[in-house]
Amino acid sequence: MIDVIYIEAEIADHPRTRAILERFPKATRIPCERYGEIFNRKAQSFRLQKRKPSLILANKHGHTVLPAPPAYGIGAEKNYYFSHMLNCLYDCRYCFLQGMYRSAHYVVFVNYEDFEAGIDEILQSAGGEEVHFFSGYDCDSLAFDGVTGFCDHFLPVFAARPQALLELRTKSARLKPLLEREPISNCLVAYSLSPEEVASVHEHGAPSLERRLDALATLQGRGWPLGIRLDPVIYDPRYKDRYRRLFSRLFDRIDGDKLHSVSLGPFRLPESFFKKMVREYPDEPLLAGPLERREGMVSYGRELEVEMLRWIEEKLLDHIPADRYFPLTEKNLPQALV
Amino acid sequence: MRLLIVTAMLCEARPVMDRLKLKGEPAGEPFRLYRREDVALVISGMGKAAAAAATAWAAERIGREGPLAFLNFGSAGHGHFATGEVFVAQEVLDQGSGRKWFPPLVFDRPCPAAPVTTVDRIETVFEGQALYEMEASGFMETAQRFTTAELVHCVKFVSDNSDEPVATVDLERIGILAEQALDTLLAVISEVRSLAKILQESHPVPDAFQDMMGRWRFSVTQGRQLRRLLERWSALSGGRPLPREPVNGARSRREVLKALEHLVEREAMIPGSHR
Repeated sequence: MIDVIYIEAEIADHPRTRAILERFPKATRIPCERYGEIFNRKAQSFRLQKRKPSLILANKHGHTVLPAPPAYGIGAEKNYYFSHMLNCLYDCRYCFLQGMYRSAHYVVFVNYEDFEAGIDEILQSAGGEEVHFFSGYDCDSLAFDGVTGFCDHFLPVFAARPQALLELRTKSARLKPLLEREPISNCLVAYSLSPEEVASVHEHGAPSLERRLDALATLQGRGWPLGIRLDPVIYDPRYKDRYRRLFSRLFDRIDGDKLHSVSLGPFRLPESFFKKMVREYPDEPLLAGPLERREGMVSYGRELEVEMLRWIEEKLLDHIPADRYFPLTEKNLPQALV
Repeated sequence: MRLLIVTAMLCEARPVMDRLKLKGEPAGEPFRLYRREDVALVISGMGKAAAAAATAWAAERIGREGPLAFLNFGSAGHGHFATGEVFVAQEVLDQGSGRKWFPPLVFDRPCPAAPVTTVDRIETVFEGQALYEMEASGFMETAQRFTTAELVHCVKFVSDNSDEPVATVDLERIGILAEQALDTLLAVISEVRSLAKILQESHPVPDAFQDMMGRWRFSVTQGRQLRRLLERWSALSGGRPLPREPVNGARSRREVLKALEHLVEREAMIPGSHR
């Protein structure tokens, strides 16, 4: 699966580096000074690299935990994110990572202890107030867990810090790290869902909708707090039928009253990301759709966007309590997530 | 797609020219260039400055339509690798400046990868695991200005080592080793071609583009707008020919773009256009 691994000199002897390298004994190992030498270079093709991404093992310097974009919340005032990994195993055509990064290689920051220290620093400054931490902003939280051991490290960290809530944002159906332990009340597993027709066309390499629904049902049966992220909403003239069918299938399998949160957000991208994505995928119908530029962002026309979101919201609220619903507000919409 | 192979010496180039049936272009130019269909080979002479100059000169000569791929093929010294062993560069270090390049190895490699160090003079003391040679950094720096990094690679065969020092190796011997390395080079060419094909097929020039550009004499900016509109039409319509009537009725370049935009926006709202 991984054929080439770049290793920063600074963490070459880190125990987590050694553990990851042991999983890929046949991979070519290439030393480097800083991951940016490879990851941030100009003139790279995200599209070509996505066919066979390499792995880069690196040390995260500076701020390990950052404020989440505005409007990102699911109930708390204080929201932060941290990224132990850059890039995703899946290849969703709408994903902003394609526009944000020059490289499709996977970067894994192995110094988890520094992230932990960053989390503690935030918690101390919050003075007892609830703080939400999002781990799936620059990657899928679970998809690469078999390699990174993210859950084994961070779930106990959050279990011991009840003032904090960790969101694992994912499309992964790999539940082993969750099912082998008791549910943790402040660790939320949030699944990104799209109607089947959107998932099968645009979410390359991701588990099918059915497998994600299976995963949700299993986790709810075991008592894990769950979230649903209907983000991004992709326009199609048949979107009403599609979302009707999605909700029917979803709420046949899980109890909407027990969900921690459901969020809803339209397809939107910063203009610079959109331009880069068009350069990579000029033949992609999704990027050729009825999109407009508005205040530095590219999204559907306001009228179309509002019409879609209102309709979906109305149907959604038939299935969940209103206090679990967190629409992404029109102002300061963050980029699409995984 | 066009491929440019850069070698330092004629003895390294000869087996490639013979196998690929490349024909020499007239002499009298700064470098000797050999071509056939979409493959070209330039002989740069020794050293990174010569490699950089030859790469830039030949890239301009062979034109920039569609993706360009570049391969540097040549001999290198190593401390203990056996002569004749072939490697693709995993890293190129310019020893003089300390600059490094990491060619993205996103294809199935037909040979192992190794670091390459470019030096200014022939090296006889080999340190570490690197292959030592004299052109790769100049080649990398220039070639990556013309194309995406995935399409720029170095293939090196070992011509000398501690047991067979460079002083004992003549040009004939290098030619024989180049011949032996040829199958590996051709396998790398095949992989790089596959990558270039992906880019080429995903970035086709829309059918009507040249015709409309010629007919309406769009400005550069308008040309970009036209191309993107035609790309959008193609993506949304699944390649259906562009209806001519609305565009034919236009009286100016602006009206053409407006009519085209209207067509595309209408197509974007039709069921099925988003797959």
